[in-house]
Amino acid sequence: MKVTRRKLAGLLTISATLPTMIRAQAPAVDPVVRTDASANAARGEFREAARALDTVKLPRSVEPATRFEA
Amino acid sequence: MAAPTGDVFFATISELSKRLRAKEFSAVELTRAFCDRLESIGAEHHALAHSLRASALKKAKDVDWDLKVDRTRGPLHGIPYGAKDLLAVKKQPTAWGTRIFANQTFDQDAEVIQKLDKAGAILIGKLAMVELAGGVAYSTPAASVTGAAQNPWDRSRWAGGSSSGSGVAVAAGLVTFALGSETSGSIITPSAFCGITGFRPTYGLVSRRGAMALAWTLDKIGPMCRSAEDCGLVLHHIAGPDAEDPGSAHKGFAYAPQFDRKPSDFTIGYNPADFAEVSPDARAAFDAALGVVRSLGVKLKEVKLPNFPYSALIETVIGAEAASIFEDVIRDGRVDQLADAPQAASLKAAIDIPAVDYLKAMRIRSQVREAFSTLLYRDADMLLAPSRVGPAPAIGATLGGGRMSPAARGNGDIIPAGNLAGLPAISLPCGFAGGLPLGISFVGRAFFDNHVIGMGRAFQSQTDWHRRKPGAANA
Repeated sequence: MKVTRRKLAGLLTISATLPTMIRAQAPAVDPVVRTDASANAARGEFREAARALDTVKLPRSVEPATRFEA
Repeated sequence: MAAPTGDVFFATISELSKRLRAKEFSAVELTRAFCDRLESIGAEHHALAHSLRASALKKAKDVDWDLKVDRTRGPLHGIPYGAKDLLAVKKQPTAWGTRIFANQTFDQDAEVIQKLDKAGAILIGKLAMVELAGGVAYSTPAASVTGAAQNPWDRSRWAGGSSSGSGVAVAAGLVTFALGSETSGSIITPSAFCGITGFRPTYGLVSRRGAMALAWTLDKIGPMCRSAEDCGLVLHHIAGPDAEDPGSAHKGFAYAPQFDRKPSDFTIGYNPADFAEVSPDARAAFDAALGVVRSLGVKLKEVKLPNFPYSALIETVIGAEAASIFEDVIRDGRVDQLADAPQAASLKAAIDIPAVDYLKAMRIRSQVREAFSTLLYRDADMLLAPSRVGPAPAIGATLGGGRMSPAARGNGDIIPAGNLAGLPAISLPCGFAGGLPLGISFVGRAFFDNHVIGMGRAFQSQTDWHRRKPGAANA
């Protein structure tokens, strides 16, 4: 494959900006929220809750409850 | 006219209304006397968020003028009441129980406050609450900017939450009725612990416009009163459709005791394990309460709640919705101003609940609702269980909060289950354990709120637990 100087310059530009682009797309990480040990323990509780939800057999056809009428 | 004293503070709505119309005292005298009690006893018990004496006395003058010309607006006309501090009152502090929002005010009254104003009821104060209505979970009774609410039956015990001040104010005779709110247990629990009658309406029956949202798909506003009859009278005035509340069921409600069905028409589902596995000092009272229900002529039938992980469901739904509602507070660090550090930690963690987990919980919730529809038509008309398994815990106790607990035996998950299914419930005083009140609950079909209130009336026609007064508050 023939690589022109123009293609090479384009590739180098992308590789230089890629890490920045990835960082920008990553969810905002709030250091206060992330470093709190008790919040991490609470995260464990939510994961435990999620595991309990996994025990329920859920047919694909079931939609979320969004209306609450008799 | 004589200044109101003694039993006036513990009268029901109908009794007080009759005495007002008989001009035993004026509405101004009545309001002033209740304000005095709320500001002294209420503050001592950490039940008062903010007194509204000035506006209440102004309104009472209008009521006196109405009464002078024999113009009445119904049974709530001139009746003093309090509202949980999660409800907006125009230009008055609405702190939601936390110093984060200590200076918050709104330009409009909450819809329920407007409705009660039209009915002539007199709002005398905003009542204390657990901060942010408890969030996902809180660890101590002290999780409030006003401190731990003290139980009028024993000030070393907690009043329950999150509608703590509403429970205290009714039990101690500081208001004739109060408004509370329930996302999962916040009306039923303080009603049981304080020995009053609390009603959780069907989801969507009462507008939440102007109320703090904790979890949109679960939040409900309801009355906390001296009797089932009073709950019906208040519900009559606060229920109804509201185009501006997205959760509104767009249904009306009329309290209609004249159409009460006989208790013998009802099949009441219960689980004997619920009555056997209560705290030992409470067992005799719960057994006696079950005996009273049986004596009403109902058909008692053993039933089991549909098998679902209710604690996990309620925790996931409240967690995800609360984290979205309070995302700004969590991200900018104000959440750390909450009095209860574990509650702050839960909210921080809740922001990471995956969407797929929330949606899974809401899909399972569809199955829960379906299962309860079947249960409450095929097997029973209503369900019966202890409101809480024992009396109020000590003020310094560590609470389980709403966190995951091992699957309850019997029908012990009836609070999260009933809330997930949006069902109405009433908590009725049913005796004492160690001098502290206990409560039992009836849970009914969605939008059959009148049946639930009717069962409450029937139970209270055979008991006088709802007429008992705490000694200290009555002094």
